[in-house]
Amino acid sequence: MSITRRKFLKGTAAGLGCLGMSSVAGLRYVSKAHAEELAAQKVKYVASSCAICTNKCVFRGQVVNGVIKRLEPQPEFAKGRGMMCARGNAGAWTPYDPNRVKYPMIRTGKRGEGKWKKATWDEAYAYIAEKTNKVVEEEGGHRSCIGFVSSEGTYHEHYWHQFREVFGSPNTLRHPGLCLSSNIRGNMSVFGTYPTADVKNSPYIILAGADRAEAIFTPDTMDMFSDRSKKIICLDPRFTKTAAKATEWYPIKPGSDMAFALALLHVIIGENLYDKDFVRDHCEGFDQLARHVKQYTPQWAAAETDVPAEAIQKIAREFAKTPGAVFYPGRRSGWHGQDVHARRAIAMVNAVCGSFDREGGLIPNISIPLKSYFYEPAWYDLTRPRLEADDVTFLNPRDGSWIPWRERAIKGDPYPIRGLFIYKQNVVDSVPDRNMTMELFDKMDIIVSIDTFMSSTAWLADVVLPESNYLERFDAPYGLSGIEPFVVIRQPLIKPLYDTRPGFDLIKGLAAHFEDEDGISLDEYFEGDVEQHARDFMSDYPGGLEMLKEKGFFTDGRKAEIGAYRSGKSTINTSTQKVELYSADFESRGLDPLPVYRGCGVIPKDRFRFVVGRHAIHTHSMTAAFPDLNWHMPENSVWINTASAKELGIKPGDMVLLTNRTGGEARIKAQVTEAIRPDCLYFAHGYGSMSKDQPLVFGKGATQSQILESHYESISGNAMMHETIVEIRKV
Amino acid sequence: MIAEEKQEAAQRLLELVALLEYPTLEVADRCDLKFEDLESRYIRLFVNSLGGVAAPPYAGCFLEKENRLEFMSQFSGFCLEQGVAIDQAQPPDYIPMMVEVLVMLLSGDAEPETLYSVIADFYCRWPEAFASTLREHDDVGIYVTVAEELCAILREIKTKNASSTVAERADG
Repeated sequence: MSITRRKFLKGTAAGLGCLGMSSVAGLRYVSKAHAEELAAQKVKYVASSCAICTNKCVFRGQVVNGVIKRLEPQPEFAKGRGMMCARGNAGAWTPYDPNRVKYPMIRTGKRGEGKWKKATWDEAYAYIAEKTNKVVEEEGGHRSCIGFVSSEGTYHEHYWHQFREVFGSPNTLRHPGLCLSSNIRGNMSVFGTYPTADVKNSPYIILAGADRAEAIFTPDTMDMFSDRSKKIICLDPRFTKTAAKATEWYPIKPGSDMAFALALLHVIIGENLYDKDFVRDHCEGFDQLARHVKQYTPQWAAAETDVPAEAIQKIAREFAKTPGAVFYPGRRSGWHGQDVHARRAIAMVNAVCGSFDREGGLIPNISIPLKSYFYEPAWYDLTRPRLEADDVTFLNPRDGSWIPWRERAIKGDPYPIRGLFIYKQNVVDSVPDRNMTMELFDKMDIIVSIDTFMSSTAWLADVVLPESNYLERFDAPYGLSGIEPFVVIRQPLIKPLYDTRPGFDLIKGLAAHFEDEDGISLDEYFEGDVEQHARDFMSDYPGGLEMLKEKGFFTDGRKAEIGAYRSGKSTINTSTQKVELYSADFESRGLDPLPVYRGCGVIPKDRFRFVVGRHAIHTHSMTAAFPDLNWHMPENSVWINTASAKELGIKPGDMVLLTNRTGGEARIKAQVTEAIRPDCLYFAHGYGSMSKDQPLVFGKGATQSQILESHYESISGNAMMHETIVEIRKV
Repeated sequence: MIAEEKQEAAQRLLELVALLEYPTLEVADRCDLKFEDLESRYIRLFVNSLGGVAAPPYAGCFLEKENRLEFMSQFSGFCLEQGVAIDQAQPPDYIPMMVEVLVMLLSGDAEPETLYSVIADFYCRWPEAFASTLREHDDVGIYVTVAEELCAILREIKTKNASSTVAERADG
């Protein structure tokens, strides 16, 4: 087909009218500048906080002529240690990404075909409401047939929860079930809290799989590695950046960290090296623990872990004898079926050495309490428990547990799920076993994705609603707990580009298209605006909001009071008000009251354990498509040990096929290296996107969700990321 | 460039802006295309597409050696210096908006020297690449036509204002 110039290039625009800049007719985007616009000509700085990982570092954004030029670290924000990492710096470009989701989009072709039409907000909302209300009606008015998914990072997530609650579905899923819920549960069961390690003041740190030098929680890395007098013991199947910086590295067998911790306890207690005063005054169940760990000798642990018995003994003695030593509780995903108990065992190593509530040890976090966000609840007669309510012992009702929930949703057990409303989480690339996620998606009548980019999940949705970028929005104050707590805020550096909306407006607009059982429009439950909420949150701190706006953070100078629990000023939040080495609570629920090691399984010959891990410049599946970061690593590759590769005839750069036990496959290039155990394979997360609207990562490498099998542990509901066994062959 | 020439160029540029907008039934009709077909082509080329937006309508995406943020900042600064406010809901290098800025300058009392230098500074290094990208991806040639016309008009403005500038200098 051809178009003639004459036919096409004729008379669409209105006539120009008279000449003169102030009176040009027909212009849509430009006008004569007024004082307000002329002010943008100056260089300005705006204080705000990062959204590219969980740390929320505060920065000063430099805006020149209305364009974001760079993001500089806010030097006064102690938590950021005066730094802005590669990921944070790369964020400056995100508002201008041509592949950003710019308008509400409604799918016009098949799911994943990539055919869309641009819609107005009202069109998109009405489309969602029509589909959703039809489904709810077909399910007899049960709103539980809609699942709600959200993720950490946006300070608007509480509005999403509000929408889900007033909508009337119990089915909500958040990221902790893919991340650290087993870690939290393990520490909670021992200390009644999930504490922070005071690595700044600790002279001796054991890191079991916590890849601090590459992880998304970076500033405390400075504390660990800037002081060369600190001794750092790194246990990791891979020679990570953290291993490279550590004093000693042990390529431990994946899944055996608990055996290592139990053997430390064996030595520390057996050699009478434990902190007798702390144990006597603050611990419950020491005698049972002492009897229990007698079986876990260093020699036994050496066979389980591949860490030499002599090294285990040496580390145990050094640890117990070094005041302020800490076994880092970790902040990474769950690994295996015994993960809660492994975290408990690690917590107990700290406990028996008194490394709790003391300088250098584990310190219970404190926060700067903000006024709560209050809203009226909606009441429904038709209610059902969430799908996986009976599958997990300690199920957090707001976080849920992805793996059993998805399995039940696919089967419709005990009732069908017909729609998914997804806020920010990239489900397709993040939840293990992508094939199962696709099966779930296939069953959905409606999938709504709210995102700033066309992630794999957005790509497969029916409607995509574009949220304003974090550099364009005002986000209400957000509390960061820790040893030194802060409150942070987000302020717009520029006005929202395209037809996007900040979370609150977007969610309230969506709510306006639904009613509760009494016919009340759901948007009536949303009062005020984000500015008003910000003022309310900070109302106990005169001048606090002003400080937030000026500096990007607020502190009233408070810090965790070390020794408060030892002195009795604060109470340990367990049922016995002691550090619980023996858990009667676990026992009453039919769980092991003490951590019992049950092995980490045998890997069949010619098979490998797939391990996950971090990459220094990427946050999960979010950043691989950032051009500045992608330039450093355009594609991921699977790490395979040199000896294993030689046996299989695999050379560097060869294309290989990984296959798991449930049909998951990943094609990816091989990276032959000494930096991984011969029985393990690894690749970085974030590549191999299914979204053809992420050109830098579409079809480049592989994503972990392709190859990870569906496993979860039933105490916390956490997905198990190290239970996947794969084959690898050259293709 | 005389006033009539400026007005004619401005009018032609304004036509191009209209054609680069989200399609309308009228434009689809003029192209002998069903509206849905034109809409889907437009989305693929400029909004979102298989393998990424095929021809991002942002000038900075076609610069070879320059930093796009820098280019946008400089262009935005130039507009403000000229007393022109640009829509803040678009990146400053949004091509239809850049074209409108030029329309505004042509419609005002900008000196030939200014017009010549603004073309040289902001409208020279990307239009051909934009057209070339569209040649590759616009299978029915609608938007290639627009981009090629844009290149032609920009060349014309540059040439005519260069001659005016030289002539004025000679007169002076």
